[in-house]
Amino acid sequence: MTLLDVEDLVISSAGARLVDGIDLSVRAGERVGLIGESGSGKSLTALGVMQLLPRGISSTGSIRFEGRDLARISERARSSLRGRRVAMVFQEPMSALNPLMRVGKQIAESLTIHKTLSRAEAKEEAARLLARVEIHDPRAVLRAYPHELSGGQRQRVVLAMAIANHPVLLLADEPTTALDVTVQHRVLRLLDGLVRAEQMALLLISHDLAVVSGICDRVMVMYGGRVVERATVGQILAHPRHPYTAGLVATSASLGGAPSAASRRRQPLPTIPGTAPSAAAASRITGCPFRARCGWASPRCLEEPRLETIVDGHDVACWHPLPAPAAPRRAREASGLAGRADVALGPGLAQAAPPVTSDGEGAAPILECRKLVKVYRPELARQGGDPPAAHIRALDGVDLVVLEGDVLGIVGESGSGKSTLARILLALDRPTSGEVRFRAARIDGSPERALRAMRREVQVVFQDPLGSLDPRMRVRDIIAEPLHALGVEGDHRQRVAELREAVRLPRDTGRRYPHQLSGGQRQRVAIARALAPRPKVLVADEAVSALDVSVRAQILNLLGELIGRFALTVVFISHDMAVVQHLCNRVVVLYRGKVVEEGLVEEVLTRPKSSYTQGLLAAIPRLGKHVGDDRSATVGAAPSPD
Amino acid sequence: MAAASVIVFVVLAILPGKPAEVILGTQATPSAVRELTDKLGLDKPIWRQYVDWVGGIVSGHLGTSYISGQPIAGELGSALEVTGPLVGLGLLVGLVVAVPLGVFSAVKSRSASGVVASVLNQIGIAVPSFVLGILLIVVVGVELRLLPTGGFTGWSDPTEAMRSLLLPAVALGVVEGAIVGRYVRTAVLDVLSSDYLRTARAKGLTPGRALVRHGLRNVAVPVLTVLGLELAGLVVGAVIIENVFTLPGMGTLLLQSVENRDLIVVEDIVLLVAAVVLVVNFAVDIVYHSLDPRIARER
Amino acid sequence: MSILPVRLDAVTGAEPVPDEEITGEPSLWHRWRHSPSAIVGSVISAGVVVVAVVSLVWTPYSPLAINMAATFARPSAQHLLGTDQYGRDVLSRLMSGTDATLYAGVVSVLGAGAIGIPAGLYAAQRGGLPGQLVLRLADLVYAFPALLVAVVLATDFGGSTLTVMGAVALAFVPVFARVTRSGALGVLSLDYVTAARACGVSRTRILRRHVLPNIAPLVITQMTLLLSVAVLADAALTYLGLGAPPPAASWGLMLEEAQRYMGTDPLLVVWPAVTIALCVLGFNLLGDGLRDVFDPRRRDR
Repeated sequence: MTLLDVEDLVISSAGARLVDGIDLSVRAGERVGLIGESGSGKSLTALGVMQLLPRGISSTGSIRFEGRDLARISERARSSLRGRRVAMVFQEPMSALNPLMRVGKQIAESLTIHKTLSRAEAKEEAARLLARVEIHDPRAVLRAYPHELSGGQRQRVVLAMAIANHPVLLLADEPTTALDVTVQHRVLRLLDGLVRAEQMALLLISHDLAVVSGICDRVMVMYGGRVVERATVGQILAHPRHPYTAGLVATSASLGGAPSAASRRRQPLPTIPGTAPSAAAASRITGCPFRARCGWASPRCLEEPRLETIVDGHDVACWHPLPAPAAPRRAREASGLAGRADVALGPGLAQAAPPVTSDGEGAAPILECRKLVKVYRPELARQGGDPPAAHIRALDGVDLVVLEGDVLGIVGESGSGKSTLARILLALDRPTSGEVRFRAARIDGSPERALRAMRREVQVVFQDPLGSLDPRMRVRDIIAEPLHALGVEGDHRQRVAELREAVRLPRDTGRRYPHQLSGGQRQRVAIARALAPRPKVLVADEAVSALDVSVRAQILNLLGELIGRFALTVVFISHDMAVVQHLCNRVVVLYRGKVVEEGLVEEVLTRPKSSYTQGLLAAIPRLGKHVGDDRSATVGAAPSPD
Repeated sequence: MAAASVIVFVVLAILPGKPAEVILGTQATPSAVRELTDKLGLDKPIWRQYVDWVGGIVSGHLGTSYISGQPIAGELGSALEVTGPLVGLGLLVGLVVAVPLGVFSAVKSRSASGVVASVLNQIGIAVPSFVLGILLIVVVGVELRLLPTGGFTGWSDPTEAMRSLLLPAVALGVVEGAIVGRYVRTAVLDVLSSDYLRTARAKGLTPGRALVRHGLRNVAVPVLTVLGLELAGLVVGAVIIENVFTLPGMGTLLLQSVENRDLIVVEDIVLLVAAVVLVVNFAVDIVYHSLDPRIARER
Repeated sequence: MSILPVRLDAVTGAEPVPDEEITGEPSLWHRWRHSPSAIVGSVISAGVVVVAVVSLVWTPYSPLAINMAATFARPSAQHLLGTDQYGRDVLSRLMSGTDATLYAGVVSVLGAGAIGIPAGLYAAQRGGLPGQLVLRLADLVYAFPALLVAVVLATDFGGSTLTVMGAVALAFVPVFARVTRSGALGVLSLDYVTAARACGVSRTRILRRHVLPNIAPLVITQMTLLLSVAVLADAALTYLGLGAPPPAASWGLMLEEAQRYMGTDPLLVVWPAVTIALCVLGFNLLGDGLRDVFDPRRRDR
């Protein structure tokens, strides 16, 4: 039985068609995934179904839910369906809860809106719901305010509210994106279990193919406000027909696959060239929205392709779908071509990447820290004395040696102290105790003047490409900044041009401002700036985490290439084991300010010693691996409540 | 607070303009000036004058007016009988204006009626309270002769007293209300675009009920902070309005004392107003913390 | 099947940038044109400035010229807005008052900025005890509204334009300090400042190169809004007799005098009232508009 049947949904704002006429159906008990990068219109689609679009954004089209068109019935009638028959879970668990209302009251409200319950009954039921979403101490959580809970707990609370009235359809918009890997795994498994137990239908919106493939039966791929492919999970993974989907699958597979051998390390990843258009830009593209990035594009693509069924249950909107029999080969070819394309400009660079010099022996330590402790005291600024209990031990006795030529990965979840460690290694922050050495010279607590030599040799790339570039400086001035500041001799303009080419930025980017660039380009600028003074060491703090899947692979390829070309020593800080595995030769796992494991990447990945690392590895969503398949993820997981 | 009192005192005492000379006029003989200076205790070292003054305030004795020789406490007390109710009434008028105006212009921000409300609001901010007061006098008092245009007959006749205070309170309240209304509007707009309001609606609350049940408290928190500041604005506004409507309140007393160089009175009133501002801010801080559990935890 | 790349850069590995992102966010000019507040505010403010400048060289009559033969004249071709109790031309006095008000406002805003902005930068950059000290001091000054300061100054020096400017400026200092501090703190916590520090850029250079340009919109907006407050304060203080003494042509004085004759000629009250309101409205709208223009996230407001 078809539960939800959306036809020709158009969502527009100020004349721009952000979602451009999509069809979507969900049968009772079915689990459908909606995949797309930022700007694809996937979240708007979910909000459109709920008719909860932000002010100033409107929709047309029919949204038949249990036989009634949600777009046509009165707001009162819609309200009585929302939360009772169809419920929704949002991305940001912090802002999704009313900060000034106790959790218990918020959950009880979900119940009392739709049925008459006494206060005591509602409270009782709320506690039961919290237990249902596997919250340890429901009574205590009922009395808590949202800010007193962890991210995972909050998302469980939101989930409890959503299932309170046993809805038949649950919409989940990136429900785990804001969470740590291990927490994400547990919340996903809970979601999976609930959906099965309650026999709910699920529409799961995500940018992560692996997450969707772990839960859903069917997948819809969105690009530029349109659905470009629609099939079962199995079909999509095995025979993607749309070139975009093929690229996505190839990228996800190569990063999220099994631990790679050392020989494959830093080999170029298959990528999709270019950047996904923003929603507003996509609405102006006529014809196939993907054609600018597509190796298959032909003049015919100027005409808009329609979603057509190719095989039973497999629809694709493309004039040049990858053919079925040869599909496996062609898919590889498609992504292979894109991958080659990305490498093509740097002749022989990928091959020229020298074998990793140091897997331990022989090399000299370049950065080193011993017994590092960092305690954050709450700001003195607050009135009233804070109890000493509020002190946070961000780092708790960390020893670390970075050898020359190392590409060292530092892996940790939020609260592990990894960013604090980065700041201390860069001498931007002082440790509370312990010592940091650069080429055997102490750099902790040294005056800025004494650090100049070190500043020239140690540079940094941050996570947020927009935040790390001054919006009021032109790209060429940004790249030249370290040259001026460090008094590097030589022709700065020449050097900036060299760097621009090294990171493959188009010639005219120099005079642009950061907001005129795409996310990937901005990160290239940040990398160029870091390389400007010809540093020996590059510290990258979550340098690819904020990027969309298809762009991430491009930047990783660039980093891999630059490491080889400039013989860089790299400290690569990330929450993402898959990325570290691709780029690094050694890895250190941080947990709550302590090093819980370190060693060669192959060792740690295949034979993790600490239970935390084991849990972390098991929690990584992998293509085609069902989220409920592996129970070990929780075994070694954090003893904390999420 | 202590620092505030030092500043007030030092600034007033050190800077030129000898009160004794002013009091006695330009023809005064030097000896007469010296004698009066003596009598008023102005010959003592400054720190000594300060200690006397603060000691007096702490013990509830505000000193004696240089000019009238009356204890200031009495004069100030009867002035406050006017100013206090005026400010209170002004606050009431302000809230009556601010809340509906702000909520309406936010909820209807995308329709013509909301824009009209917004424009009215802007005009309300642009007209200073004393100008509005004068205009009210012209229209309501002089042309229509509905309410008294000035003066105050005392609280022995409460109806008449309220009638005298009504126009000044409206002048005061409408302008402050317009300012607060802008903040209400911003706060409501913030709430309207918040994720938790969306969650509330996803639960099945209608838009109106969602705003009432989840919005009001979240609106109250930021509005309350500005309300504290605006209360200070009301007190200052009252000083001016009293002069417009010739009400015998604190403001009138203050300006008379300035003209007469009655230092002690000026000092007391300035300090009183500064104290009110500081106390109100402190009180707002406390209420703010009790309303918002997130801040409460940070403390 | 022919494989014809539509765009060359699709295979060169360079990222093609969708058209919209090349033009980037809408320009300031574009946003200005779409902000009614900014447009109306700019027009009114520009008008006020023009009137002030014109009044320096020309007014229909001398603002101080007494003509006892033509007191309380109704608006006419000769006297567009009529005359007051001494037969002085109201329009000329209003124009001349514009100049005085604007001068006092600009001087006090700039003066307050000259102290408050560096103080705010200092507090943001330093943190710790010295920063806290600056903040507390600002809080303290904040407890004295301009009126009180003016009263104190007038007690010492008597009422004058200088008194008004000093009082208003002093009251604005903490506002500037706070706005600058919070803006600067925001910028200082951003990654590009950290990146600059990692390149060895000095503190003063960071303030000059990164912080100041990025908080400039904030500060300019604040200056515009405070200018409107200064106009209000100026009118109120001169009305109370704490500003320039008669026979100066200032809006506050004109109101004060007109109020005495409102039984005779209520229009005399209306002209300065409307002028003050218009001027304040103009700067206020301009300030609001600038905020919209500089901060696209607020555009919906």
